[in-house]
Amino acid sequence: MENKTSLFASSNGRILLLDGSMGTMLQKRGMKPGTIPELLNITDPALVQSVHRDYARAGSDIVYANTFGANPDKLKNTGFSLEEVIAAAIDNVRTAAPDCLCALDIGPLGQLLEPLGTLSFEDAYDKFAAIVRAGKTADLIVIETMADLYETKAALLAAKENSDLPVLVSMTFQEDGRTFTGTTPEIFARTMTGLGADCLGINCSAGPDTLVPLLKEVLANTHLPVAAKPNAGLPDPRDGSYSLSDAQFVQDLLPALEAGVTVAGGCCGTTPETIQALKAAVTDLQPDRIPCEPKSVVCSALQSVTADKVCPIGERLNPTGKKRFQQALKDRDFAYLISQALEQVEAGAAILDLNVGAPGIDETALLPEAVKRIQSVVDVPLQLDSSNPAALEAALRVYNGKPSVNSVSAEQEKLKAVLPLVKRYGASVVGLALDEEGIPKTAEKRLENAEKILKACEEAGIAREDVWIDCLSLTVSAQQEQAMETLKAIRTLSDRGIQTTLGVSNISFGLPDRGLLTATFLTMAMTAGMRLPIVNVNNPQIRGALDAFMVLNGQDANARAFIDSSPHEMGGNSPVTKPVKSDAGSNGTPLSQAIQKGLKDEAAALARDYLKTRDSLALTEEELIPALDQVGKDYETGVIFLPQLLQAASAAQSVFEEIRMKNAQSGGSQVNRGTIVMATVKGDIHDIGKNIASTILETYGYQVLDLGRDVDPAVIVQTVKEKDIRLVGLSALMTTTLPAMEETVKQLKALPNPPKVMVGGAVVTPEYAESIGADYYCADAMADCAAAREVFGQ
Amino acid sequence: MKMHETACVYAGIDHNDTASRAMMQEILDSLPSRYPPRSTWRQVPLTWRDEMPVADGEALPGTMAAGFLQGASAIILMAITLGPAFDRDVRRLALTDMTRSLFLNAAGAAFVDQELDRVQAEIETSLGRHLSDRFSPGYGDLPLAMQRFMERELNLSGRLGIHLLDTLLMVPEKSITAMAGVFDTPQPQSIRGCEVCTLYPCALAKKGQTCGK
Repeated sequence: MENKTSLFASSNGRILLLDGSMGTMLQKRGMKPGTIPELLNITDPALVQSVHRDYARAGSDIVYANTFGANPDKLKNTGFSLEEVIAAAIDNVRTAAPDCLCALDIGPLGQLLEPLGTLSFEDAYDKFAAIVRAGKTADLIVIETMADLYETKAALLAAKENSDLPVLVSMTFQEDGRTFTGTTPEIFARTMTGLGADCLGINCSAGPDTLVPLLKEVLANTHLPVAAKPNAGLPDPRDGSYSLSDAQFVQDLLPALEAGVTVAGGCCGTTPETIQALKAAVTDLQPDRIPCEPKSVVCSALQSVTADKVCPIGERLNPTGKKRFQQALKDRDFAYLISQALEQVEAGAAILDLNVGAPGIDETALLPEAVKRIQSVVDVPLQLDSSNPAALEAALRVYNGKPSVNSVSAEQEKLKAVLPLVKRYGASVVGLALDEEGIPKTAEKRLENAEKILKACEEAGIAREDVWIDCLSLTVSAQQEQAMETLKAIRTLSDRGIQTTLGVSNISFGLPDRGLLTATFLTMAMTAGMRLPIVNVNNPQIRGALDAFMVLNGQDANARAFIDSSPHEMGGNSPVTKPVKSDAGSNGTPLSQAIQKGLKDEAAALARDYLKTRDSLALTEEELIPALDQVGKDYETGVIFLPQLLQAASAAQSVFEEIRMKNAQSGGSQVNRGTIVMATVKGDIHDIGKNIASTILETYGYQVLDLGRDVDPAVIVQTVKEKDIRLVGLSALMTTTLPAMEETVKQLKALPNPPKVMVGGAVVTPEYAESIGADYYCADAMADCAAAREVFGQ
Repeated sequence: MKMHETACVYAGIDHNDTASRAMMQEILDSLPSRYPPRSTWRQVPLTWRDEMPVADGEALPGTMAAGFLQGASAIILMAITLGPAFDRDVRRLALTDMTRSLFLNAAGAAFVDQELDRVQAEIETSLGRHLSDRFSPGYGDLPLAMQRFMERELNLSGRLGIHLLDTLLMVPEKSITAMAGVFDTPQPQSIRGCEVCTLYPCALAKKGQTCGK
């Protein structure tokens, strides 16, 4: 079906009318509390049809089928199948409102998606796909009342990939202008427009007055038609009634219609009378639609970045030439990747480039997983960096928000392989200004290549603002004249309004004082108009050049940020969390004392010195372990308490990090006194205790495989089998999740060479531990260490 | 301050650890602006079936609920949350500063409870009546399964973005649901603490301490 958006666009200023509330009307007409409304489609079709009929008579053009809560989980155990309920629902609309368009109404699944909840993106997609397939006979699909951008993406992809129907995507916002999960109307609009919605909307939330500014923000961030379906105000807590009159509802909604909203109806608390009032009021509108601003935007679900100013892209998540990073990829050490990500964000990176391509790495599996892990704690948007189209596609699919893709070039093969993915998933794309002839020697050739890329993007339906041209920095040690050619090309493109990016670091390769050269070139390129530098933001000279430029171009108002991060020669103002004072650490070597006192940086520096002349095994056995033993003793005897224990563990970890780096450099083996699997059992999401225990165990030299929370017994068993694990630690905080712990222990003990099991958590007792067959009851992290010592020997 | 004391207990901070106690206070002070709590409440009719209170058609089993609601004219259902940003920050901090993560988690638990005290007081003012002490599914002998009733009645996912896992745990984690009876006269503070708690003896009780509830 071509041009599905035309269904929602208005001709002659006519507003397309949706219906009003189904739930409110069913309640008014006698639906008992606790009834699943969707089942009424089968058990009381006359009731449902009466509501549809009244909305049709009131003037609705589109009537929503009574399918809002019809999903596989909510209908489980009702005795009715998803397909039956949806078919009956659509039937009821066809019977009662034959002249209206019928919308398959899809609401949230009722479960929270990862990373906050336990439902995976892929499982959510599957559930939505089942709903879409069951509703194929509708005229359009409405995805509404969504609060989670990730869930909305799963639903929209399911709709587009399992049907040809036009799709209206609508989210619900709080009064502070964000959804419950932190998404803004701008992020919603920019992401869902790119993913192929045919109309965007805001529904539910509160009354029309609070929605008007939010609708205006949506209008400004999409060229698509926009819909509004607000509530009749907020319900009175004392009796659940809605007090906003129909006249007031319409009055409050009018500014949105005048600003360009072309589709309107009502949500909770509204009735056929509301729709009648709306219809009467929209006959003589002279809308003046707020135009969509053409902007270069990328976003996560929480933060959007607009390249109308300098936005540094952090380059350090890249294994090229970085042994430690490569080791982390092989070990699936996502904690390391995240720490590198957070360091860059701390230093001012607005976007992070993410590349996991290295020999021996399955990029197609690892890149999407890295995206999910990093997005679970890092708020800034990501730039997906890969030359493997399959890896790119896998990552684009699971990315939450609108990413950029690094990269495409003017080579036909690249354009053919990558642009369709960029278009399909609504991303921005970096275009390298080289073609089949290789790296260009002149500014003119760079511009020619840029032109090829821009034209191909235009043909693919990718907006100009979403194409960022990289004019290529060649190292001046080999091709000195190229630097000025690059700058010339940047200047020309900028003057034409084309967005440019640049991988800057290359410029100084092979020369001394790289930081100085790179920083200077960076400044020259930004002066020529380049706003998206791909750089090492943690390098003090680069950071300095960026901060200074942002003062000089006016971006850093009143030089506030510049002053705050001064003096720049020291590498900027990294906030130092002062360790909580400890009474311990007056004995032992300087390194031992630094660990006991929780002095992270000092411990790391002393470790680095130590490793210049001695090996890591000696460091571990002669310094680290004795220091930790002392810390453990002090904790048990009440000289220090949990905060100090954690601080010491943190200092010990920084020593371990030095050891890992040295080992990665020299190819030596890691210290591993034994591998332990840790997990919070199925159904339980509490993990602070487990995380503390894992930290402490790692500082004692054990390798911890932390499987996370809400872990299926089968996953634990599988891991134990695959890696021949000898000790498993299980945690549960709720009495309702203890059965899962029992089941996990049972399955583990049924293995031919069963591991030892230690259990802990607030509700676990020694008696319970014994009754389920656990080997150790561990009240705290130190008890875990004692158990580990016993299992693995001293 | 009671909230500070409770938070310190949750984090395992000893009485004599002044530096940690100061850090906890600093964290507590930052909470209201960083994680403004959101709440919702409803008044529903209360009837009695034999000795069992019935809220909007749903029976509330156990002696605890009946005890709190004896003589009440209606029931208030309420819920509050600090939202998902809090959980996210605790997890992020766990990667860079475990101590602060632990402290933040403890502070949030104490804070959200105190904020529900405030909401309860606001409800009393709004109704011009008095509320009993509040109680929640999972307390005493009121089954945790009643969380489904709370979810439905308050539209937790629609109004506050709170979801129930299969195990009836709420996500975001710093969320509370509770009920209270509506009365014409002030109600005495009822017995709380270890005597009515199903988790006794917990890890704190074994050390001779309490969680302050």
